Amino acid sequence: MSVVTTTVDVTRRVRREPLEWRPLLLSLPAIAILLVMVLYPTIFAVWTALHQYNPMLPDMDRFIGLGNFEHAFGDRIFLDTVLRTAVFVVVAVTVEFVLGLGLAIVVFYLIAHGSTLVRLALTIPMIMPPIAIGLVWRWLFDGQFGLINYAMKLIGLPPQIWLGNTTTAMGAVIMVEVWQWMPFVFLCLYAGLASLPSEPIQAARVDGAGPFQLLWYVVLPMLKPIILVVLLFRIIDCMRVFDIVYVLTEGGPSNGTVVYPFLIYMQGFRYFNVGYAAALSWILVVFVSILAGTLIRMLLKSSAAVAKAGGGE
Amino acid sequence: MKREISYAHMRRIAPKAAAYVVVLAFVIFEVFPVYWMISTSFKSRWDAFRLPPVWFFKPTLEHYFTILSGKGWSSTPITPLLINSIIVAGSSSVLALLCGSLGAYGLSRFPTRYGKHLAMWILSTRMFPPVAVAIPVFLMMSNLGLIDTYWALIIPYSAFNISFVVWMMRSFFDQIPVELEQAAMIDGCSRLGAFFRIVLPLTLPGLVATGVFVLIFSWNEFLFALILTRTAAKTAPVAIADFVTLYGIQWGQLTAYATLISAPIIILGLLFQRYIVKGLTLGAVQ
Repeated sequence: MSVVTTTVDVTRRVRREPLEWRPLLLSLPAIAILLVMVLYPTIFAVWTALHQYNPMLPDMDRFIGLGNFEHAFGDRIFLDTVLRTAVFVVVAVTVEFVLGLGLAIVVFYLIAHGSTLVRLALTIPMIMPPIAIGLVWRWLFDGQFGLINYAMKLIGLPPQIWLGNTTTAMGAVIMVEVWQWMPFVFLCLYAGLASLPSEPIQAARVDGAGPFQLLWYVVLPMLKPIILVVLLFRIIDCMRVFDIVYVLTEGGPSNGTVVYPFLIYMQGFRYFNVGYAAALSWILVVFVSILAGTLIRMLLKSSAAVAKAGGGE
Repeated sequence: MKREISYAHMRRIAPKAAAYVVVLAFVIFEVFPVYWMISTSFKSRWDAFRLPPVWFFKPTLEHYFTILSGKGWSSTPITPLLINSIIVAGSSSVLALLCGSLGAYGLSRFPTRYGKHLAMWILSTRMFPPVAVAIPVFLMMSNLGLIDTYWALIIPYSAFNISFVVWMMRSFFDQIPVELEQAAMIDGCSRLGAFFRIVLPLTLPGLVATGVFVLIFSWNEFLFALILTRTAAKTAPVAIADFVTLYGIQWGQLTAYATLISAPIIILGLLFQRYIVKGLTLGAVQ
């Protein structure tokens, strides 16, 4: 028995030792990989971003300070892309969220049988290779043989060259994004609804709240932390959309679907403006860090608030 | 709990029937493209283009034979691409699992203040947009002469997956009682021995679920595979992307390709369905 106590002391007593080095030691391989593949490249990119560097041109590697950043903020293509990406993220996340939330509520409260089947079916789009998704939607959107134009004809609407027109092409990219990730919103919020305590809902019902009042004043406030988690991941992930754009539209027509990651790719790997692409990468990193930081702070605050409200019951 | 609210609704049957119709419509919307991909891949080249679409047709494996034998318009047999994908996804998953589990174990068993910060830092790499390091990683790999090798993909994929592994495995380790390892250590096991012989086998289901999740991510990854490989280490998604942009009319063969790379993922994903959301949110949603 005394032996056991000593062992417990070894693992549990943290205060006595000056520094508990074991978590650090055990994390070293993980930290090393992250340093090599995330931190080091990010810092390395600063150096590249301060240069005008094009490996395809001789002697095109010179220090230009913040020239790349100045160029970006004066560049029509950059500003258009930022705006286009913002529209993409806002529209896609809003639609995903509204549909996913609605579906979660409907399935959780109104569907008595088959909800497991619904959840299984809706898992498929999220895990499919985005390249396969882009491909099959390109086939569906095909102007000549695509099923969507056939359906349009059936209901008496004129067929469209969906991927050949700036507006409809962007709409198509947003639709595919919504198709793939609305299920994520649905599954998260469904899990959230299932985890809610039933007492506040019962109490509100006893007090005479109708179903919509229950949803608005009781259920949604309790769901807020999960809603914020969902929005955090969707916004962050929408800002890295690349694969679907690559296969569905290749950024076209006339750059109409070039979103920010695609711009980095084009500048770096098609035009070989490596310094400029590194500068664009840095702008993205800074922006995403600020955005993620803000969202995480909101999240922690609301989780704390909900936990406090729950504890006070 | 489920009944509490629905009772109010169930007074009338109409909203419920409407709910079923709406949900069914959504399920069809979400599943139909997948069905369409698979069914096109089994249609003869004449049936594939027929409008109105043929719903009942004589299934054929001609597209699969064509792409597997490399006799298609792409003239690249798909087998080496699939093997590359398997090697890259498999190795990077093992590496991420190994490094990530060790870290997760340390963070779970020895709670320290800096450990919390470390865990948060690892979490923050999940927010990091991979495209932002595409340029420097490409330059790095070029300087090291690793372009078009498996390592060029294995290391970045492991890095992008470590945040998932650490956070998922940490939650699994938290559920294993400390006393079990302590007993093993009294019997003469080292700390690492206890980890590999006692803790890891106990968390095996969690480890497998995490592994499947990481495998799906690595298998699907496209951007880094596109920029860091040429021919020798090219993975299946990159090849498909090439073909769809070059030969956008061979839908039978293209959908056969897409079905081949999607099928294993769909099966794995459905088997481990309940871990997918947990993984995607790093455990924030159970």
